[in-house]
Amino acid sequence: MIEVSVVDDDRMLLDGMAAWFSSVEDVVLRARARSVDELFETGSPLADVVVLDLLLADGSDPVHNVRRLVDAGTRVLVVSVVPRGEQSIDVVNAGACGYLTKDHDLAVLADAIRRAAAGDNVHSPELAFAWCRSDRPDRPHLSAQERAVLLAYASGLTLSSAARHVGIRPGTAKVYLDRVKDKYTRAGRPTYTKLDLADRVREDGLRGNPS
Amino acid sequence: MDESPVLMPWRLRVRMAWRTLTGETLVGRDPTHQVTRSGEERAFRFIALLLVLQRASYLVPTVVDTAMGTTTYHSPAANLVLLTAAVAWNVGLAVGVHRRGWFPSWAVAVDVALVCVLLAVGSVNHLGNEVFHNSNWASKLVWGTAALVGAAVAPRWIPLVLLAPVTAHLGTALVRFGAIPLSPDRMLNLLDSYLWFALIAYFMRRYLCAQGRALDQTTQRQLELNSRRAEERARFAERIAQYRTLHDTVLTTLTAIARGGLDHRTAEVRRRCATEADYVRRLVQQDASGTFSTLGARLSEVITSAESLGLRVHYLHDPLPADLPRTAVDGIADASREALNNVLTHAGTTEAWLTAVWDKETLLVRVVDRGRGFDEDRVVLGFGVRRSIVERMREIGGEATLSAMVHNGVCVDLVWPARPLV
Repeated sequence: MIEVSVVDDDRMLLDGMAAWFSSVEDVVLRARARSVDELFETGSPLADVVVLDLLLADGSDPVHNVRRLVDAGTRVLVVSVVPRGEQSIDVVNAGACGYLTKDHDLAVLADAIRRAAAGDNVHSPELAFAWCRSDRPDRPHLSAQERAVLLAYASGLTLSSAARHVGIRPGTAKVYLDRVKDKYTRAGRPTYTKLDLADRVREDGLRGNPS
Repeated sequence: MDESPVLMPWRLRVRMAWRTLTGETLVGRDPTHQVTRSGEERAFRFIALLLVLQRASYLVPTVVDTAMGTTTYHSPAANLVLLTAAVAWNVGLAVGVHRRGWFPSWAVAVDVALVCVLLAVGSVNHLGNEVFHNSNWASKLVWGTAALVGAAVAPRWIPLVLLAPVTAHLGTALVRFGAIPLSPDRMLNLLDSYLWFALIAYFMRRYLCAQGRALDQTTQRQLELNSRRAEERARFAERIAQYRTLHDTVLTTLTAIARGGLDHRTAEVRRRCATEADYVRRLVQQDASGTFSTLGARLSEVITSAESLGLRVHYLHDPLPADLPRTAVDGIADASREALNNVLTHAGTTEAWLTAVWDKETLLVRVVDRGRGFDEDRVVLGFGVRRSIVERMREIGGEATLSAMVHNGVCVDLVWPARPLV
């Protein structure tokens, strides 16, 4: 049984989530909160996966929220109403295992939770689109093949269809996406000083080598 | 009136020939004909016209005098050769500057060299010692050259360049007469006249070109302002249309649910809410992009239309360019509409994806479904796809490609402009 907590400032959505998860056999809703502070204040152990709304009414920084939850040992899945390209990249760089928009149906969300609980990366078209179209100066270099896979997946093709569309083996599309995530994660961790380097080593030691 | 040149009255034919020859360049007849050129270019052309007219004012009387047999030269034949060369050069110069818009550097150098030769040979050929008088027509051309040098050469080089014809003129007189047949006063007046022609032309060019550039900048700012205003008006009109749609859909649905008139637990109401939520999501995305794009608005309309027929469309897009040609926008929107219609009609699914990206001056709009697909090797594209998608894109200079697999849906790529053949 996978335990899930939801952090969202929309009370109606929180109530809806309770109704939603009651219909999913292998997922149980442990806690609901309107902010990360409120979730920690409950005092109970964190769930296997926390579904975290990107923009909360308390004005908290999404990246900071993700880091707090990841440091506390839980897997974080970030959701938002509309696609937020660069912010979605930032929260995934901060340690979230995936990013989804709220227009996906329950089956997609449930599948994402299962993947997150299993320690896998959760890929979505909107995140792939953000990676593919990012124009930030510190973005990592992506090969033409990686860009093609990202765009194919972002434009609605399934992973296997995206692989065929680009001309690679069906099973390797996910490998490409994982590789892109890794590149962005490394690019989003600047190392300017020896102290930064020590931080990076410590982070890697806490979370294991990001490979 | 019959417009065949052969049957046209001769006066009209002469008028047409004159207009063709002059390219309607006589400002007095139509001062607005050059309005498509930049202000600075028009200033250059105006100055060039004045310089050409100045030269004509020296040469035309000389040609008339020569034709009437008046001569102040030892060898009228030699004088005729020189005059012919001068006239030919100046006509060529005028035609050249009419085409280019200004005098190239080499033409200025040739003009200076030619006037030196004319001065030298003309002064030797001249009867009497009035080689600095207007009866020696080459001496008048120095004013024309001085004005050209003043207008076309950098100011620090003007005195140096003018030294050439002055040296040629004075040097020839010195060689021929053993002394320069000019009083110091007259010499000073002569040099002064050359210099002042150059200076006047220099300041005239500087002022008129600066005014032209200022006019261009003002025009550009005005165009940008008009464009921004037009964009704002279009945006306002679009926003009004959006409010109307929001009123007719989202507001009505929420009001009905709030008053208990709609049961939000039914599948139909949930579907309706999902469709309207997608519409609001598109509005937010569009607004977040910061720029109004006609293509973005049209694609949004296409999606809303498809959703009204029961299709759920996931839409992701780049900030789209605001200045695409109208024909391209219409063609791409209509081809996208047809692609979504095909999903509804043939794919056996109610979900589609529409993605629009703008990269290196190329637009890609992709429509994808995960429906039943088809075997590309066996199925011939229907009339709708060929005519309404492929040919439509070709007509606007783009291209459309389809890829499909059985049970794996269809992917339609609309690319504009068409990629060059490799």
